[in-house]
Order: sequence, then structure tokens, then C-alpha cells
Amino acid sequence: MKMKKCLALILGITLLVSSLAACGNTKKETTEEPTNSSTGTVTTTKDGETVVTYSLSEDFYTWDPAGQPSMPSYIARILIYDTLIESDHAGNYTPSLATSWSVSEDGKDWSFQLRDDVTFSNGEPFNAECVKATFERMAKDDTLAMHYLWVNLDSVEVVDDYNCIFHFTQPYGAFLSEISVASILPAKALAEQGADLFKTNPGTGAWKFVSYDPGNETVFERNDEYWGGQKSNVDKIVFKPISEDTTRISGLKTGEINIAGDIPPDQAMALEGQEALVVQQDPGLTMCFMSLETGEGKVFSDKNARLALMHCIDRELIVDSILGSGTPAYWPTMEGVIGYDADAVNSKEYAKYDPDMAKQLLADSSYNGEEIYFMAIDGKVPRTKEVLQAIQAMMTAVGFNVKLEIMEGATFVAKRSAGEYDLGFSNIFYGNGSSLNHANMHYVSDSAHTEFVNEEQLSLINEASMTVDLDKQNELMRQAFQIAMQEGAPMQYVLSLDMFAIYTSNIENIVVFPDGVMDLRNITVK
Amino acid sequence: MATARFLLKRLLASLLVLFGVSIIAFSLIRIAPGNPAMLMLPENATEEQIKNTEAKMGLDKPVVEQYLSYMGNVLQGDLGVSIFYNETCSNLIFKRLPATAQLTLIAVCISLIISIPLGIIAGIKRGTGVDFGAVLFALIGQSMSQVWFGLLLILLFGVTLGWLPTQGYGGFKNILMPAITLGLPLSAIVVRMLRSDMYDVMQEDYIVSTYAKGIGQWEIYLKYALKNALLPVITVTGMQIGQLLAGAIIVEQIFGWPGLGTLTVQAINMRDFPLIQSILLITAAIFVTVNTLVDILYTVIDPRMKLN
Repeated sequence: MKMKKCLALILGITLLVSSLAACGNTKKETTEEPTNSSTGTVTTTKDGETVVTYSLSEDFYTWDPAGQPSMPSYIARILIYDTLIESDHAGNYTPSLATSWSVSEDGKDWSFQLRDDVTFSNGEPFNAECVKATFERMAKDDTLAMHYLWVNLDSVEVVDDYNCIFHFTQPYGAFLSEISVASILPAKALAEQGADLFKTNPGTGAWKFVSYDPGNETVFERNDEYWGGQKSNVDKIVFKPISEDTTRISGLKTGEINIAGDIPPDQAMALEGQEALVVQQDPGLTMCFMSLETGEGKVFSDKNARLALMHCIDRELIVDSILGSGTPAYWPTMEGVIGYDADAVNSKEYAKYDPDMAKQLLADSSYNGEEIYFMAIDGKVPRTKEVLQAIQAMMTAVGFNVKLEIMEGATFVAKRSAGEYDLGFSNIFYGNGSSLNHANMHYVSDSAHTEFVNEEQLSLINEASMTVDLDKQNELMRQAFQIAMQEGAPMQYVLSLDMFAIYTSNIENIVVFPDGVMDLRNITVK
Repeated sequence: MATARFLLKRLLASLLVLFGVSIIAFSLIRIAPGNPAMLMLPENATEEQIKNTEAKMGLDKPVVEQYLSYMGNVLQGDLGVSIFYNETCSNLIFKRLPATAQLTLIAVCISLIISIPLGIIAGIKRGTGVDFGAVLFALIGQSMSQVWFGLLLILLFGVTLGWLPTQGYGGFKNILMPAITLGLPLSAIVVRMLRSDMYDVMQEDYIVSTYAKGIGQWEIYLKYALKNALLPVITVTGMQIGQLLAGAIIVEQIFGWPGLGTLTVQAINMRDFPLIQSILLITAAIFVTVNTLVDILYTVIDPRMKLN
């Protein structure tokens, strides 16, 4: 009996001590590091620091700029790193770490002259070796997500400290667009530390990486020695991943969060007119599309069935009545993106909503009521369920027999790449206004396993990929997309999404690109 | 002696449970569609690229071999390295565990502080307004979705009244809303159980005899009746702690709480095999430990129970 009481006492004490210890830890953290505290309001902490908090739905997965990118990492890379050149996301390029550049006649060699007054935050000087190390790493290591962009890079020749030449095995049409987003890494630190470099992330950028606490917060600090001249009056930027949209919006309303992205359109529009908040809505570069498995024995191997699908969807209805934002897609790209055709969009020539025509096309096809497996990634379009059920209903109305399944990304990718589907709904964003990545990934490499082959289309895309002249590239891609619209394959396009960014009205000088990426480098607080 | 034998027996049984969990965790995530190498690479990665990446992750070996080497390392205290974070799983988990443990513990405390008095009073004052209120509370608490309840709290106390921060990790103010949300279903169960147990115990003969002895009303309630009525509550609370650790996944997502729950969701989304396995293993170990503690606590409260 006594022993049991003793035991109970020990148990009780242990529980108490552990809970007290846990509470104690928290208190310590809050007093030692003011930015760790809950309030992300633009606050002046006791050290007189101004802190801005921004929040997105997802966290960082990798800090390697050559790893699989996500929205947080795009934004962080702009803060902590620089690129050789910068893009205005409308096809114009300006100098950054490179002061000037030129391309050889055959389009295979690009020469760059570099700045000589730049150092990384770890003290390492920036020079041509860093350019070489950054790009050759991506070209050689095929386990890196960005490897595929640099497969044709033969080498980077270091002419002297501040001059280098990229040698390609064939002309690279998307080169300028790609280097304008490729973060330059410190060569020496990369060689010494390998992947461990991405625990400290030393860059040349306007902001310095301070700490990363997965799932909780990431802290950046203003770099007052920035070579480009520091324009911000904010001391720290804190990033917080909050997956629940409503919570993120609540944080905006209370001022705990200053900038938020990934806000669903209906919720964003509900915030319009609030004095303390700025709601920025622009047509975005994200396109929702469906890939069609057109292999032998599949329903969509029949062109008439594909065209029936094209004409049975009332894109305008989805945009107007379900989403309340966005643009119906009558062409694979939107204005400002390579391959755009204004006439086709205005005339709705290829994807006009015409259920009678769709019925007729379906009757002319070999379709006999087989079940169509329609799968989708949850969250690739706002109100995923409603939008997809609308598409399902529109298809059913003209005679398709559709089974819809909404799933998470990993399952979708596994099924799609194995071709275990008929119709797959996803989205793509035309980063920097270039459609070459989409075309190469989904048309040429057929990563969606559509099994659709049109030699003319493929050769047009290949030629465009090797064309450095942007006007010529544009025309080639327009022709390639025209075939896609005429054939209804391998992709059909449904709508493009508007881009929303919301921030408190005391924030100034942030740039929100049409692809949703934010440039917070020059952020100031009123 | 009996205690030592009991603990030894329990330890062996626990190891068996953990062994089972490790096999299930290991095979389930591999049966589920989705490949971490494919998720790490762009969509147009070649077969060869995927194979190389799998090799880098150690996923190219036969499954049995992968399992054996994983368990071999676990036995030496090495839970492996997360594919995505490039950090040891034990580091990641033990960095996050305190946040979840803190949340769970405070949730349990809050819910017991509310539910035990409420349950006792409802049990002895059956049919009164307090009883009706307690039953209503239990009904709402058990049927209310945590997501909904959490969002209501945020709207009321965070946005409208501005008393508490809407999200984030840090001080005591931050923990209140997630802990209440997490603890709500538990307090509902406890109120319901304690109410009916208290009522039943009060009808027992021994309680009648305490009345006969002339012992005071509240002494009877708290000293004689509560002891017996509390036993099922302890069992349920013990079981619930395990469930709360798991249920914290949803609450952590809502409140942006950087605990094990958010880590689990990320690990599953990205098919981070080593990390998922390790989280499940650690959670199972905690669950088993808590249950053993509950069994011991039982014999302390009720000497009629024997440890075996």
C-alpha cells in the first residue's frame, strides 16, 4: 500500500515537473527572441525593430534553389539570392549580377560580364567561379529537380574572375527566362559543405537568412551591406506557414499577419473594401487544364470524343457562377504568354460552348457509354469539388458517363504517370510568361502519359525551344498550340485563375507578379 | 515484486506492439500510391533520373532489406534521415514533440478542470438545471466538429474581441484556444461518464451505510463515491491522451501550431517514408507508455485491483 502511494506520488510529480518544464521553455523563448512571439503585427519590439509577417498555406520543403520549387521558396530566393539578370515578367531583362551579356550567332554560347563588387553574406566574394559552380551542378546532378532545364549545358567557361561563357550543345530558347530565376550560390562554400549549405543559405541578396523552424517560422534580416543599395525600412521579415485559409485571413484582420497569399477568391473578395487591408486582384498566369489519356482502347483515342469534351464545357458559367473570378480559357495560354492567339480567343473558335454540337460529335464517335475515369488534385482550382462536379454534369448532359475522383497530389501523380486514367485535372503556371516548360514537360516528354503523338506539333515545340528570337519562338508555339486545339489533345484548357494578394494598408513597395510570386525586397512600412 | 514483474511483462508486450506498428507503418506507406522520388523531381523526369534519386534515398533495395536495415538502425537509436528536410528524423520529431505534448497536456488539464466538477454535480443533482446544462454540454461537445469549433473561437476571441492571438506558437495566450478546441470532445465524454457513474455509485449499499454513519454529505460525495466513479474516467483519459496526440493534427493545422501534427501532414504529403515511419513509431511508443502508466495509476486508486 505504501509503495503504491509512493509510486503515485512519483508519477504525479513527474507529470507536474514535465508540464512546468514545457511551460518554462515557452516563456524563455518569448523573452529571448521577440520575433518568436505570437504577434506579427508591424511592431516595434524593445530593440526598436520593425517586423513584418507574411503567410502562405505551405511551408518550405527544400532550401536548395535547384530543388523542387514551391511558392515560399520562390519568394525566399528573391530575398536572399540574386540572379545574373532580372525579368520584369513581361519579356524584358535588366542587369543584376551580370552587367552585360551577348549571344553567339549560332545561339549556343552566351557571354556574361559580371559585377566585381559583390560578396555573399558568408564573406565569400562573388565571381565567375560561382556562376560555373551553380549551373554545372544543375547540369551534372540528375537527382536535382532543376536538372532538366540544364541538360544541354555543356560547360561554363571561366574567362577571368568577372567574365564567363555558357556553352550549350544546342541553342536554348528559354535561356534568359531561366537564368532570371536561377539563384547564384557561393562556389567555395558549396564545394566545402555540399547540401549542408542549405542550412545557412548564404546569398548576395538584399536580405539575409537567419533561421528556419519547420512548420513554425522562418526569419530573414535586412542586409545593410546590399550591393544594390538597401531601400527597406523593415528590420525583419518573418514567414509563417498556416494551412487553414480562415486562420490566415483572421490573422490579417487582427494585424498579426501583414501579407498573405493563397487566399481563395471568394474569401479574398469578401475582404475588399476593408480599410486596413489592400486586396490586389489581377489576372494570373495559372492555367487549369485537363490531360487526356489517348492511348489505344481509351475513350479519348477518338478525336470526335475529344472534341465533344471540348465543346460540352461551359467555361463562362464556371467562371461567372462558381468562382466569381478568373478567365475562361479558349486557348492554351493567356495574353502575355508565349504562343498567345488573340483572334482564337476572341472568336472562341476552338472551344465554344455548344452542347448540341458536342452531342453530335459524340454520336459520330466510337464512344458507347464506357465509364470515363476523371481524376483531379484537390485544391488546384478554388472550390475544387463544385467546379469538377459542374464539369462532370456538363459532360453527363451530352452523353458521357463520368466517374469523378478528387485526391491528393502524390496519388494523382503516381496514377497519371502510369496512365491509369482517362481525364486528369491539374494546373500549370506559366512562370515568367513562358509556355515552353509546359510544352516540353507535358507535350514532348509526355509526363502526363497521354500517349498522344503529333509529329508536326512536337517538331514545332522542339524548334521553338531552340529559337532564341522571342518573336519567332512565339509564332512557333502558336502553331503548336493550334494543333492542340484542333485535335483536342493532349491537353484541354478550362480556365485561368486570378491572382490574389492581400496585405495590410501600412505596407508599401511590394511587387506581386502575375504568377503569384512576391518581391518583398524593397518593402517599407508607413 | 509484483510491480516489477508487471512492468517487465508490459515492457515485453509493448515491444511486440511496437514491432507490429513498425511493420504496418512500413508496409502501408509503401502500398499507398505515390513515390517520393517522383515528387522531388519535375514531372518530366526520366526513368533513369527517378532510379538515381531512389538510389540516393535508399529506396532501390528490396523492401525486406529496407525494413531490416531500418529496424537495425532503430534498435541502435537511429531513426534515419528525412528525405525532404535532410535532417535526422529524431531531431525533427523531438524538436516538434514538446509543442504537441504541451498542447495535449494543457488540453487534458483544461478539459478535466471543467468536466470533473460538472460531471459530479450533474450526477448527484440529477434532473436539475445543472444536470440539463451538463447533458447539453456533453451533447454539443461530442457532436461539434473541432474544425468548426476552432474557427468559431478564432472569430470570437481573436478577431471580434481581440483578446487572444489567432494563431502561432509562443506564450500562454497562444495555447488557450487550441487547447480548448482539442480538449472539448474529451471533456464531453468525461462529463457524460462521470454523471452516470456518480449516479450509479450513489445508489450502492455502502453509500447508504455511510449515510447511516452520519458522515457529511460532501465527504460522502468526494471521498466515498468519487473514488469508485472516477475509475472509468481514468481509463478514458488515458486512452484519450493517445488520441489527442493524433487528433492534434487537425487542431494544429487550424491554429498553425508547429507540432507533430503539421509535421505528419507534410511528411505524408511528400511521402517522406523514413519520417512517417519514425513519427508513427514514436507516437505508438508514447501511446503504450501512457496506457501502462494508467494501469499503474489504477491500482493506486483502487487497491482491489492487482497488477497483472
